[in-house]
Amino acid sequence: MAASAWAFTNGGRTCLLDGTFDIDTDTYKMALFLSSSNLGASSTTFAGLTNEHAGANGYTGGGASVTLTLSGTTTVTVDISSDPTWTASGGSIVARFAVIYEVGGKIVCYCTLDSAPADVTVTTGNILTVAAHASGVFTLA
Amino acid sequence: MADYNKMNVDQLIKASLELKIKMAKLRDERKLIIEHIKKCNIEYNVDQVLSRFDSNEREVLRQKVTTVTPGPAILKAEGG
Repeated sequence: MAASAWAFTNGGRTCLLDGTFDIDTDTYKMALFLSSSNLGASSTTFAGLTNEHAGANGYTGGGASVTLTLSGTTTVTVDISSDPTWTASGGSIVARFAVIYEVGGKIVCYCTLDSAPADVTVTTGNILTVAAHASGVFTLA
Repeated sequence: MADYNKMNVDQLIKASLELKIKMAKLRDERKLIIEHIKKCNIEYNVDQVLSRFDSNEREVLRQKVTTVTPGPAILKAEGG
């Protein structure tokens, strides 16, 4: 099982360049979505997305807070300071996508948790971690 | 083992606190060991492995961690 790379939404790039996203200051979250979600490159806001994972089985609606960090000079890397984890409880967590979004605002990027594409299922008592890649979430070089 | 019969109360309290600190450190070390066992990603034999841990530790050992690691997106500055 390999996840796809993070992909920007069409509007996400613009928001990065016009300053809408203040990466290391604004508040961001990572949320999980079902295969039936309307999530795609043309998605804009978190509020406009459908079929987030239900707020149950160890998942809280809206997802988990993530702190984004900036580092580097000639290559600037945006990373997640602490990987979000969800422990399935009372049922499985089944998700197709993860989304990083600005709280109260727009989507930064998204990925398919299993690039097959397929759902990722974590059964009760077990943990799902969406880990930051060694090269971060994205870079500008 | 120290000879507690020869200690006064202050010394006994001090010894007790020192043991408490040692126990906390040992518990932390056991947690590290358990995390490393989990990273080995093997199927545990209940009789041979799990029985050597207490119930809380067994729960952690039985827990499977699914980690997905999306690769980075790239923003390119081109030209120049």
